[in-house]
Amino acid sequence: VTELTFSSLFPPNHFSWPVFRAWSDDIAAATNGEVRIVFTPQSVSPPPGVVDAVRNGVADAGFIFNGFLGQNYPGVMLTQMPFIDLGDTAATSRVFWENYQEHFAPVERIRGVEVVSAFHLGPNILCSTTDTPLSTLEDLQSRRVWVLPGTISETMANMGLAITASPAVQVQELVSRNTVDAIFGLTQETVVSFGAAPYTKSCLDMSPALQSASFLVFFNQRAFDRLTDEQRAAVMEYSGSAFAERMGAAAAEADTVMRAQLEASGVTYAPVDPGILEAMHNASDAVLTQWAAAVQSAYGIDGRALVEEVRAEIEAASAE
Amino acid sequence: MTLALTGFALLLLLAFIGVPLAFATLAVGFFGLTYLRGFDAALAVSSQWMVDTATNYNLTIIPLFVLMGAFIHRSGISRDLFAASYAWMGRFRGGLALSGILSCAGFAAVCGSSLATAATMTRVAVPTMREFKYNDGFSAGTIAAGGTLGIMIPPSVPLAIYGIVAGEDIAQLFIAGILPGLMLVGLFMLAVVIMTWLRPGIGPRGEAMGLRATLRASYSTWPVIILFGVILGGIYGGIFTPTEAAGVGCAGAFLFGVARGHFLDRASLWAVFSETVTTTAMIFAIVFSALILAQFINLTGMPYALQAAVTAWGLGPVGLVLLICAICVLLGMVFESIGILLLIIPVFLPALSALGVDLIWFGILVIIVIELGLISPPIGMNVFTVKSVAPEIPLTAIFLGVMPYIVAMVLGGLLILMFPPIATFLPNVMR
Amino acid sequence: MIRKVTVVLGALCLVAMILVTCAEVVMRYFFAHPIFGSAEMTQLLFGVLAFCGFFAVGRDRGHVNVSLFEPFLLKRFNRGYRAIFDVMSLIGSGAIVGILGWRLWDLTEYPETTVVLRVPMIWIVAIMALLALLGVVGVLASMRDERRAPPPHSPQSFE
Ligand code: NA
Ligand code: NA
Repeated sequence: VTELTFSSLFPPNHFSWPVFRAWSDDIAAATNGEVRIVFTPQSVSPPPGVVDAVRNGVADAGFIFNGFLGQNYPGVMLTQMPFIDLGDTAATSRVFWENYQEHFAPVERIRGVEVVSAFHLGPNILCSTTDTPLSTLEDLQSRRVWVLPGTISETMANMGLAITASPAVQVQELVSRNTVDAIFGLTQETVVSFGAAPYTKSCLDMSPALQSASFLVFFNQRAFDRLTDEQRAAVMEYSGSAFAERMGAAAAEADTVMRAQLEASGVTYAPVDPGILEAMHNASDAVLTQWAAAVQSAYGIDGRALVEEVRAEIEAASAE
Repeated sequence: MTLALTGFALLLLLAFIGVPLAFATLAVGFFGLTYLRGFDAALAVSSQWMVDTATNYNLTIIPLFVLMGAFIHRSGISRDLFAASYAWMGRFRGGLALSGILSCAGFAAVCGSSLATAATMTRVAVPTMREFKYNDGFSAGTIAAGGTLGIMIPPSVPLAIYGIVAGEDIAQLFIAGILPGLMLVGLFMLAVVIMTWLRPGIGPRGEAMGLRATLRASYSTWPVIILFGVILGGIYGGIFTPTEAAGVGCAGAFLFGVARGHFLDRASLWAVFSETVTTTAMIFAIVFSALILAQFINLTGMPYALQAAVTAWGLGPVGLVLLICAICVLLGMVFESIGILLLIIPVFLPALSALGVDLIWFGILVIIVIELGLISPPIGMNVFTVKSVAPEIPLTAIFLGVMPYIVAMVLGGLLILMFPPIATFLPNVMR
Repeated sequence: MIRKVTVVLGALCLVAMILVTCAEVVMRYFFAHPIFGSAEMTQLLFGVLAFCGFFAVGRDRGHVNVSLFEPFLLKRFNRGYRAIFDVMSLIGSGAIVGILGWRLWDLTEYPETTVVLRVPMIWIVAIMALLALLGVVGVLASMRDERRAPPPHSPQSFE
């Protein structure tokens, strides 16, 4: 029996746990109990260091927020490009995995690990943490905004806004101290689970969303190679698209539940003002340009065309 | 579970034969990880947590509060605090002891360390108490116990470290410490009243001051009130983060010192910064070692085993909390306070959150238990500190002198256990 | 000399941390424009500060230890007890340098930057490793002194 240790960054009550457990059970069943994935009580590494930890065998598997990899492996940022997420998280997850697999996996080897799947969380929402909703671009310009580093922070910086960029775990401290008066970079679900809910007063609906967070799931290369061919096939059967779709669906459901909860506690929702949207579109193009240049020079891939293609695919998949 | 327990046993053994705590912890963590996952993995974990700890935003609060304490400690404010307390309390039996406790509380409001509080107040209060023919053990014991208020009344370095390890909001923990801190002040003063009522000889009455003199003496404590107000008010009112409060507090403490004619020469600045830099290194070495050990414990799966055991024994939340407190009291007899926090909390955290224990309330309880450890024999850091400042008083006399306060602390702990709102009321209002 | 340099460097980090946090507060409230990445600047300054004291602590034999059996051990096994403290301080400080050195080497192959300001981690870790190395020097110096004037062990703590 091979026991593989999996390190999860999510706390014990997180919606992702049933999905991880089901995945592990399926793999165990498909290998006649020969391959068991066991979860560590807590993450074995700080959030940015999961790949390093797994590469060095601290755990046999784990997942990482792709924002931490984007500098060295630009391909992983494919679906974190601006306005690509149309709101169907299961579809976005699966399309990301399939396109990453097709276009980047052959050229973008993340050394020491075997990437087996990927997933998305729901769209990140822009919310006001003061009683005044964000109704115009001028409103937004008068705010101090907490943003997630990456596509959102770069776009908002291009818009000339007063931003504080930091990892999402710091958000509660910032909103509770009135250090910021708007937040942009959390999903409905993470607004609640990261403790920002009590301070969130109103949010903007936006489809497509400026950005949503994607993750890669991977195994330590040696641990993965030690499995037999049949075992690897069994792992891949339940990883890949199947896992991406499952986790995406669970994320979408968690978002729906949490949105209802937020609305019940008085958070209001309004469509985004066209002026804000236009400014975001203009400011975000530079992000795409920069990324396209990076994947062009690294892998000779036409990033802009690929993003168009992926957007269309997500649209088709969401319509199903 | 066996592996983790072996690790702990080894750690205790190494610590007892004189290996520095940080290195004993690091050794057990590192070799444990090597045993479990190999040498490369141990190197990866150690280096990741070492660097991550060194660049942890929440930890930046520690050197800032240490620095602020060092500024305050050398700005002569302790004398004013004691004089002001004496002006109000001197007229009663045991008045100097009451004043000692009150001024410790005042000092605690601007200093995050119990040792600094004890050391500073010993210098001011103990000589005066001896002059007034107070019993030596009673005087020294009072200040040793009063010094522990330094870590309950915010700001507090151990409370901040607890917040980092448990992932709780430091601001809320600080606010949560206020009422229990005041309750302890009350209990300590009650202990003085009872003690001097039983044995009036140990703490004779002092002189009564007129209202005017009393007010004049009180007036000089304004820097403490302002600093405390800025720090706590700033955190409570949502003006800044605890780290920013510490930064602003440092600047304020420095300016007050300068206004009183301190810190204008190189020697005193050197003393302040040298103390802060070395203290930071000492704390930091223990913190990252403990986090590496925590990863070893994590990978042994012990937290799951504990969680299962707690469920199997039907302990329930209160049972588990009592069990942890008991372990902490035992460790507190010999271990240094932050060491206990860092060794115990990561092990029990998953079980605590699974049982739905309020981690703010639990943090306050743990701080009381740690305070107990600071004055309980055989190793009581606060007692040693008082002894080092007032070397003529025998150690046994001080340990005897703190006994009534140990009773008061246990009572305080039980009250918080039975009435959680003492700890949770203020932070809940803030939310 | 080394003490002076490391403490002064630490003091500069502290002063910079205070200035950055105070400036951040002022910019935020009076100009409604927070300083980009100020929290991360404070973090990086702390990263350097954390290791600045390693020389002085090693030099003063200042690492915290548990003094439960100290009076007994000092009486019965004076030299052995002191040797354990010294040798383990040396090994421990050396291990810290080794661990950081390994990370440094790893970073040359797998470069990393900070999340917000995109500062290359390799520089930060290099400074940390260098300061940790001075910690080893401090321990060695204290061991050389040990024969001449054995300082008394006293309970050490910071809390
Ligand atoms: Na305090
Ligand atoms: Na003790």
